[in-house]
Amino acid sequence: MGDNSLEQEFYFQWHITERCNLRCQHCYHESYKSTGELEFTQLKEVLAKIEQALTVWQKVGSLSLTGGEPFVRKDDLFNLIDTIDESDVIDYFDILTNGTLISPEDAKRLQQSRKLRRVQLSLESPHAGKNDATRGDGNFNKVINAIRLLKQNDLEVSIMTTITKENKSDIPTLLDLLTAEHVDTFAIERFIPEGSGLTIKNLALSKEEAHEVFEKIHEIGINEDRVRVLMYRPLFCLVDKDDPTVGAMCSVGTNALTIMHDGTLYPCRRLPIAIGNILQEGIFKAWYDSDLLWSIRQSSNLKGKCGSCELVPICRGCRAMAYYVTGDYLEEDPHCWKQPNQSTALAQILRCAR
Amino acid sequence: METTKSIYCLSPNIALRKVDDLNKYWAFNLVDGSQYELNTTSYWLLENFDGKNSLNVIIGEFLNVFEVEELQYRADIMEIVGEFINQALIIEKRCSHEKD
Repeated sequence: MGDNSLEQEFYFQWHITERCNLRCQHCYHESYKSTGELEFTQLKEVLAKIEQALTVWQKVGSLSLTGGEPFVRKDDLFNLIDTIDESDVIDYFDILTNGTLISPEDAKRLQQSRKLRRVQLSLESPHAGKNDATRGDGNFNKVINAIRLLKQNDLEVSIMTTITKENKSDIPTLLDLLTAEHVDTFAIERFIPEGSGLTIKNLALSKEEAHEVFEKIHEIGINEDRVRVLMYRPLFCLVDKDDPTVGAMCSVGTNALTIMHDGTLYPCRRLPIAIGNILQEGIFKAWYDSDLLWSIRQSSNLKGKCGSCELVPICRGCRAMAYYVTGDYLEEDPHCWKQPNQSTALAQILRCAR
Repeated sequence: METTKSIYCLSPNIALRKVDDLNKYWAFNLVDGSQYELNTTSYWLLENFDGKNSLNVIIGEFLNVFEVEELQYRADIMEIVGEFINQALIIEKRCSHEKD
């Protein structure tokens, strides 16, 4: 499962609730009230719309079921999993969870799913104190227990770490821990100061720090044969543009959509600008008629370095990072450390001279 | 067959979009998801079905803009317009979204 090319695949990140039992400092959620949360019958309607779109587009579908914390509505989650397991057009799904509410019975049940590819948990550091400072007291041990429980049930486990100034140096030690715990894959996201995370915006990486972190992760990733390090993210191509397993174009407007707890559609969860509602207007209206998506699809609209970069087809920068740092999602990715093309720099100088 | 006096507008279910960088043009059906890749001239025609001008006026404008011979292109345009109608990309005026 999950070896399809990007051209063949369409990805939905589906937040079935905003409710969560944790209050992580860096979380992109602002509210945990989950106002307008869809009932299970409506979740089935959403799934039908996803399937319709995939059928029309002749794409292979993948989903991530997440929240909030998806296990706060455990019954609905498992009913949804049963429904997805019967789908003809959804190839696989992942669950993105904090892992703290998964019981031994839940793990057994997950093991029965035909289409569950992996369960992704979050861990911010190999040091319990540092992790718990971000995710809450006792979280570290709960996540380690969840990893063990899932692995005991032969489930594939991934760890996601949000990189800040505080944990940027922890990756090598964290990978040692993940190896010892038989974790299958590891991925990072850069911390974006949005939602609850606005209160710790001073912890966002600088450009130089981001460069250093990406180089380090790449160095570890290509030599790491125990835990598979996933580097399908914008900016990774700056480290090695010739390796197709390193880097990926920002998926906004290309092959992904985010569905919120109330059916609202976002281009990406990290770019929370509503472009429609899946139950009210459907997927096609948002996908084909959103000015935001079309403005990003037209790469000449991108500004700064991104506007003239030859790596746009394999990068395009993170539009959400641009949005939260500059207020404009078309601006250059503030973490990009690539030097502008000489010809572009000259053109800019000439423009100024005029 | 439509007459050159008929006035057409884009179907309310259809959205036109282009990406200049790629020289690509499309019409999208927002309800059933079908999509049509267009060439420059088809896109121009669809863009000009605004519910105000007759087909005759639009054809005249087309011949001007693209600097082509009327004799050669009028029949082609009528054929394309017929296809637009068949595919429900355009509808005759008094369409549902028209404002009086």
